Amino acid sequence: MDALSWDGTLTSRDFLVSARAFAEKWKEFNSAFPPWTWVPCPPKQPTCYLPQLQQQRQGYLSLEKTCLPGSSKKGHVASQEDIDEISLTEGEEELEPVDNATLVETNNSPQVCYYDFHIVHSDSYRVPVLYFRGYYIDGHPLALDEIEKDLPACSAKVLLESKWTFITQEEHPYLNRPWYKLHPCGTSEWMKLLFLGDDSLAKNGVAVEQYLVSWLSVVGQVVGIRIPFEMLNNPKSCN
Amino acid sequence: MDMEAQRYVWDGAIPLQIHLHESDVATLPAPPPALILAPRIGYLPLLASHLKSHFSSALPPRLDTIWFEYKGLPLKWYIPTGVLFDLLCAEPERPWNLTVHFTGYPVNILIPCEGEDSVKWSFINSLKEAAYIINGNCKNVMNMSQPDQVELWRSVLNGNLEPYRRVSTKLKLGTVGDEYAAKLNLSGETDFSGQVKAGRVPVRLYVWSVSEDFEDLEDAPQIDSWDKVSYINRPVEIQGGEGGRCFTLHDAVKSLLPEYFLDKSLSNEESLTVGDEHEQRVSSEDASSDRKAEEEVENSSEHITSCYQHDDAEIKLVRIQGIQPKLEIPFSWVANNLMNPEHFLHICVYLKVPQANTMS
Amino acid sequence: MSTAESPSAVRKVVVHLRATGDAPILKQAKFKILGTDKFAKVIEFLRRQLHRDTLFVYVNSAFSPNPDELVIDLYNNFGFDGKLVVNYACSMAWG
Repeated sequence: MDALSWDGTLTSRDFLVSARAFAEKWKEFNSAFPPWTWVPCPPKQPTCYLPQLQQQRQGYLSLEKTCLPGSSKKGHVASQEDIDEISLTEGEEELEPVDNATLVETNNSPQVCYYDFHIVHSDSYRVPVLYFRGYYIDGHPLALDEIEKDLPACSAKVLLESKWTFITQEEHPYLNRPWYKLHPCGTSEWMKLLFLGDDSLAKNGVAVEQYLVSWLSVVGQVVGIRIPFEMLNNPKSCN
Repeated sequence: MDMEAQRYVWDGAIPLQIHLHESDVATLPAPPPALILAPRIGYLPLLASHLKSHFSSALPPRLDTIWFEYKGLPLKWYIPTGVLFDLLCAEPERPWNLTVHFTGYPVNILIPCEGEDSVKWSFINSLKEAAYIINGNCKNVMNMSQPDQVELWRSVLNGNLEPYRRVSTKLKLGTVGDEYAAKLNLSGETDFSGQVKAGRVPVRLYVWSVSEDFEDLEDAPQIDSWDKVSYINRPVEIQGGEGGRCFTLHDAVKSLLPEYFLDKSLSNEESLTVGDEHEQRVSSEDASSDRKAEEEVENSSEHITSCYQHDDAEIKLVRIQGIQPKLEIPFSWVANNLMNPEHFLHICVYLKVPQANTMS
Repeated sequence: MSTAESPSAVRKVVVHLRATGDAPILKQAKFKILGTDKFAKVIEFLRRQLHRDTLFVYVNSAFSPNPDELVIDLYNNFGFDGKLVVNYACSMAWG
């Protein structure tokens, strides 16, 4: 794809390509974290008797039963976490405590909460959309105000300011049940910026395989999922 | 553009007979049902204040979120009332008997509803989605002034077409196939040689699949679970200038449900293979062993069944805004005239599918 | 931020703030920042300078760093020519 004329969107076929590339990379560089898996169009749907080849394209990426707090604490870039703590203590001015001091508690307390994340392609917006839900260990769902406590501070702030246009409950496109959804209308816009800002991509065209990594670097910030640098296409060093 | 059809859509209403669920009846005798003429383009929770006052003498003191049910099926409040009726009443039932609940909201099935605000924002978010589909961005909707936003919502709430038109034209969502429409008006007769403008049309498609065959719509089985309804939220792409051929409603439905209209070119195009052991596959033997001789089914919409027979599934009915349009009519006309105020065209399709392959 | 005092042992990183899209350009675009600072500090600085709540901030490699990342780590991975280029735009991220 030519980066300059590219509109920041992704076809459902390219989504599948990108999803597989993403899941592979995640497994390779983020092995401490549960893997993302591709879920084909679930059998519940009546459309499932549709021909095999068609069905392969229908589906979503799924990361289930993960502890949200754990993601920023004990995950991937473990070696850097210690330094993290130091810088937190010298934080100044109105720097928000974005980190996990409070979140870690939930992880250790008896009230363990799990989160399921699904990345679904939207035919309307032609971009990936994040759906998620939180629940207690007994399966009881978390309400938005409970989930809010597990989200990074900046998300909680946006949630307060934009109640109806940031995260709302909507029907999961495949499961037909209420899930939380991160609104996608700005996605193509910032995806375009991300890829245009990259000189090598602007020169060599947009790499579909890289789309979801870049996408999750933005979306992950909302829910507290971090992307290891190694997953990016061309970091200078892989430490 | 012909305004008559849009007026018809806006004036459309469904007579409802709403019964208070027995578990919400706090004082006997149970109150009589409420009779309401509900706008097709409206949403059920908007009837809340009317129903609350109607049932006030019988209701328990503590009320939860209002929700509705039809023969045991909780109704999704974010689907316009007219669409619910078209989808769930194969044979139109008048008045439509619904049950209202003020307690025990089914949180696992329905999205929470915080009254009119939820409905309004569901509407606006849909409008944004439609704008994105049409224009590639939703700036015009996002940047709508506060007074315009209020007026737009009020107009939908009250069914006032004029203020709606005034505000919605500012959103520049345009119409599809303008050139074609102009040609049609000029010549006064159906002329398919007009150039069709390429574009994307916001469509929400509800596919109800039944395994039992039925001759009459009144014999159609009830939808007792939303799992039996496939919801397809995918825009229809109109290819422009297709050799002067008109893009019909049939073409649109076909593009949304390619699996029922498998043809050579499509199967070739679909030959993308992606190997993955985890993929769950539907055995092709299963599908073919169950193929029965096609039955000629005669019903009110024979023009549909005659040309849309498929080995595996058969389209029994296509219903939009309460009517069953001929599938040969130009899709641009359908889209421009039968869309809902949030610029989505809601299409209900009844499909008969072979028994063995139906999922429970 | 450019005036931040620090012990000589702590490394400072030059950050080049580059406007994209219709974002206003800063009079001074290059700053020094402690490597041990979090990226959040850069974002916060930009917000204050531009008086914008919603900013979209990203670096090379088509990547938007988590605010918790350390500036030094970003520099080591994405820095070039002795500086870390940080792009910013005023586009709305959600909606």
